[in-house]
Amino acid sequence: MATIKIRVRRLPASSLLEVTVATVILVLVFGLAMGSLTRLTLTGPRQLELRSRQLVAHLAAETIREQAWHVRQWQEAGLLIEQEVIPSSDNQHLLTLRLTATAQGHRITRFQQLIYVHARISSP
Amino acid sequence: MKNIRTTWQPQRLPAGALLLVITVSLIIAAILLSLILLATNRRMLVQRDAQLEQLRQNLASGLAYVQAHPAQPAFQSLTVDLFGDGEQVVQVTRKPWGFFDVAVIAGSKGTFQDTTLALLGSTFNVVNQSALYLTDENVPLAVNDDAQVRGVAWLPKAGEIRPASLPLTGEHRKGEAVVGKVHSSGARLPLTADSALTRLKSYGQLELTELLPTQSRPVTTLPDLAYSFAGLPAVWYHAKAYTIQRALTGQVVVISSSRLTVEATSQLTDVLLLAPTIIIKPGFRGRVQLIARDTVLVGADCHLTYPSAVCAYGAGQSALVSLGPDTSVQGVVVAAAAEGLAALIQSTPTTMVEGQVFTTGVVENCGTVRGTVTCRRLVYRGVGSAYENCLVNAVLDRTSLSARFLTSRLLNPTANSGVVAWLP
Repeated sequence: MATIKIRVRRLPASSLLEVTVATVILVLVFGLAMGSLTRLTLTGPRQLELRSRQLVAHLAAETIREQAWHVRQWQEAGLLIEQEVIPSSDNQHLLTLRLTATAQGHRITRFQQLIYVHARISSP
Repeated sequence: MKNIRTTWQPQRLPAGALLLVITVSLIIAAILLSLILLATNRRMLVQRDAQLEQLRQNLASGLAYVQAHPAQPAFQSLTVDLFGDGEQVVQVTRKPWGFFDVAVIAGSKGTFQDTTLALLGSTFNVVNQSALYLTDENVPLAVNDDAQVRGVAWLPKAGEIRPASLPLTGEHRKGEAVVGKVHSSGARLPLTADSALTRLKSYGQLELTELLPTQSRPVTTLPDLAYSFAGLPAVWYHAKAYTIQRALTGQVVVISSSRLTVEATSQLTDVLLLAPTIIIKPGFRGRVQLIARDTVLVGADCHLTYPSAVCAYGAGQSALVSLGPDTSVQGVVVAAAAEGLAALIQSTPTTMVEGQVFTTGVVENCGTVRGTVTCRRLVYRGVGSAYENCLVNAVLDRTSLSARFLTSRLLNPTANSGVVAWLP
């Protein structure tokens, strides 16, 4: 039966300089990793974007359920919500519902969907 | 004074210090790496979710487009640029499926592709929002004490609603004979068999060139089948009489030039059956559309669930639909024939229809209808005698039908479209 022999040897005693260098490397690795992590999370979909997307989807569902086809603009959860209703130019049963969420002048989220409506609507 | 001299002597640290630093750094690196991976993964999931959400919105928009364009030619796939920006594009196709239409909406976003399949029907026309439309042939309506009409009624002008004064076979009603507004009906039906129901005529005559795609998949044997509505239909044709004892689901058309019999053990879901004569054996349960050229016989204790359809369309002969006792149909029941030919829906007091009953002829022994009945005449056939425009042991109740109930656009050509069912 084959046996594996591992020879364990004590490491030589380290100088303070070596330990300091190792610590500096550790700090650099830590900093680099944190930098990457921050970059990844900040350049990705941010919390505001996620929140606004949920909010806009909810508002759109409410509008469709209540058939409230109004053009309006209001503030909600720190966002400026703009609702547009654009009747189709060639079909009286079709409209485009558009909800746009903006924060500090920047568009965060846009919801856009064609809606079939029973009642006839007038063209723009 | 003692002279103290401090000299810094480089001191060797124990070997374990470096090892400890390296170990700790490796652990921290591993934790950081997992955090980075977690963040990346989360970002990808959020992006994926956003793309899927956008795709779903596009498919919903495509469905709205199909609903708003009922005249879209069948089987022609249209590419629709939803918002005119060239970014949100879907493919929409409309195809006839018995009394209803199938909408196929396909779209893609990023690496994702999805398809929505919906069975489209319609709401009720204004006239069909009544409990009863009885054409004016100068015979007044007689209602027995065990019968009632609940909802708007379009009745012959010939006279007031009369009591039938026949022996009670059911429970004594509570309230008036007609609970609802009464209007005067016309001499003609609000819908003629020759115009709006041309599709049913084609099905009945097995003229299917415009109703099935040319590339339909012919099936030589009939095993248990399940076909999605996204692709082409499976068409099984038999020239002779045939008995179905299979489990068939989805886009499957079973055709016979003679007679189709459906055993009670069959499991049919969304299937279309076409034959001159269709017989459903007692005890059958399923969701099926039956379109016959002259006769449909549904046995006792059968349950055809929503959205089902039972139809006999006689282009050159009379049409008969017979619904057995304790049978229920949720959907549409039609017996129609060309001008001058007889059409008959036979029912029993224990038969229940939820939806729309339409005939160009007579409804005999009408049972319970939660919905609307449109006919030329109502006949009550007792032992050895028949009474015209007479309701006995029957309830026509439009008020108990859900406001969201959808029926066939063929019977309501000017009504709004709606999704009857989501298809596999």
